[in-house]
Amino acid sequence: MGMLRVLSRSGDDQYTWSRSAVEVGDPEALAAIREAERIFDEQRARGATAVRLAPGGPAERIERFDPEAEQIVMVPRVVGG
Amino acid sequence: MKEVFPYSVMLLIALVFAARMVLLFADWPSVSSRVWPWLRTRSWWPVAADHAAETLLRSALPPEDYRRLAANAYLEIPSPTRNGRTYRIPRGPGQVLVVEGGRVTERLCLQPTESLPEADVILMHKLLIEADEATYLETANHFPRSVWR
Repeated sequence: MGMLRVLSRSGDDQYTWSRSAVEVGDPEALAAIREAERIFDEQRARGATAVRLAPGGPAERIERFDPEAEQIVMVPRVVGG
Repeated sequence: MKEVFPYSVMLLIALVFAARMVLLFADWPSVSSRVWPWLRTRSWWPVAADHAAETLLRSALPPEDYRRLAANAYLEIPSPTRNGRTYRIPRGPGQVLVVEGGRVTERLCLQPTESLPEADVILMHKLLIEADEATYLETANHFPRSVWR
């Protein structure tokens, strides 16, 4: 299962897709991943930072949507305070 | 005494005093950093955003780090690129402290442009430091020790 989490005032908004279903071309899974990618691009355009998380691995900044990622967290735009 | 202060008035005074003591106790950092987060992870917690953010933070941190955060009211993240440097992220309002050689060398101020629950802000600092420390440092306002000492 892949997951896109967008940190927000509601805690986090989650969008999931089945990586195995995407591999076999399941239409619902493909629609889910397209929606996740759309949200990803929309958040990036607003200045959010995308971080890919892997179990036991370091957090990694990514610039493009990764359908293979287990979890991507979108951090809203930040400014110096 | 009963004639001057009826039982109802004495009970009211006692309740107000007890409530103030509870609030005072709950504001104590070492208590508030344990009690409130624990309460927020309960499924019945009335604020869904706080519940979701605290649950996400707990799942994103190694258990030992989450325990330390509860005990100290801050999360320490070692710098990915600079040996001996640690970032101390507070739970709740406050600046991130840069600790080098056991000494605070500067404070950093960086905030999201949209309102986030407390636990999400902690996670935000952690992820940005770990994933792209250089941009994090470029974006933050720096307050060197000489400014606030």
